[in-house]
Amino acid sequence: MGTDVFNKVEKINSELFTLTYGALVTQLIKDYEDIEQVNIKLEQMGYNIGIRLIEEFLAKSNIGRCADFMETAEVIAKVGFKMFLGVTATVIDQDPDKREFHLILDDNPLIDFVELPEQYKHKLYYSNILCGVIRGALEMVQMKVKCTFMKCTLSDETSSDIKVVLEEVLSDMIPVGYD
Amino acid sequence: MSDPLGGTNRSSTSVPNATPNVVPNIAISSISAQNSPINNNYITDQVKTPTSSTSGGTTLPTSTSNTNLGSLVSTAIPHAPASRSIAISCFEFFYIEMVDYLMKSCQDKVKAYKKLDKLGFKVGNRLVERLSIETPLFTELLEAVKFICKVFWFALFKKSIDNLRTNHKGVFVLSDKQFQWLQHLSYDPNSTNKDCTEYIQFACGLIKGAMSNFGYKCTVTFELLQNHACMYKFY
Repeated sequence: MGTDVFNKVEKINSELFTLTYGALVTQLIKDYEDIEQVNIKLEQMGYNIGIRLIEEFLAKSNIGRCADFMETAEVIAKVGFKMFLGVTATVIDQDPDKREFHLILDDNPLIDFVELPEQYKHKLYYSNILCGVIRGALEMVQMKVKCTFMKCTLSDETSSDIKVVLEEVLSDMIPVGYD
Repeated sequence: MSDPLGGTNRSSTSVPNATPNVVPNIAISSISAQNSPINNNYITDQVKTPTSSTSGGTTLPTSTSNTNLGSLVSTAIPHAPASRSIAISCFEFFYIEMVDYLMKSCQDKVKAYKKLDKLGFKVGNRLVERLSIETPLFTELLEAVKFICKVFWFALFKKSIDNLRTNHKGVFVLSDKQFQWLQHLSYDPNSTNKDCTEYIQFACGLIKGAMSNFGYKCTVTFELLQNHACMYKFY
């Protein structure tokens, strides 16, 4: 499913993206001295991307409304990641209430060629932009989520782990004055 | 410290084929670095006296340049073995966001442009290092420019530069009739307060960085034409 969509979209070599992202993160670290601020800024940028990216996703993937949050998780992991980054993620640790899951990223184009210096390990979440993208995209489909990086391969941990928690389902509100 | 994220030092562990390429790559770059003072002098001479008659290899007849162009096409484009693809839209969304951040991070437009240019330089420099792994050292400026037009541009945009012109005195004009990064922007060439120049500045940096990796120092300016066409001039 994800592969079909990925075959359909126009593609470019990932190196430009990877290197540009690296240059931007470097710039952010220079601009903000506090690493925590860098994480926040990356997340914000991701949010701005996510709210636009969902349009493209819905237009190209032909995916309808998900039955529950767990289906959403699978769609993000198998179609969303595949369509834009060409990789798939794995969903684990779904909780029984169906309000929380973890995404495991084994492969991530963003971190190709990257090595974090010792002082940034466990502080900088290099791919934090992904959290923002997920949050922004889901907010546009009435799901308010909290998305955090739990583990990062660049900080010598086994895999990259993003935790997504559903906070509330926003109601379909009709804009004021719209009949 | 100033560059905490490292460069293009991809470890050769991922693909075994990549290992033999690593050594020649280093050799090439070091040679080009040694050659660079000569080339730079040559460039500055051209810039200082653009109208005077030239002595170097600039008086290249067009016929030879055409044959060179042909040979460049026939050589396989040296793609890194581990190259992979992502969606174009993915990069574009990110690019818009990045430019937006950089423009907002400086009050001064000129400063922001400088920043964009610098970022582009870094990226271009690293990118070309990988792209030119199998390419022998360029003996002439024109060869390097052709590499930019064909291989480099192709790696970035999946198309090569539409038109390359030169006065054979060190000035090159590259034009791209359908510049990818402007395709999805609503752009009004008559508008005065809002232009898209910030989206091109980065590409100028890319070219500059790429050329500097070949040992040529250059100045890149651009001109925006209608219908998403874009021209780069460099000296």
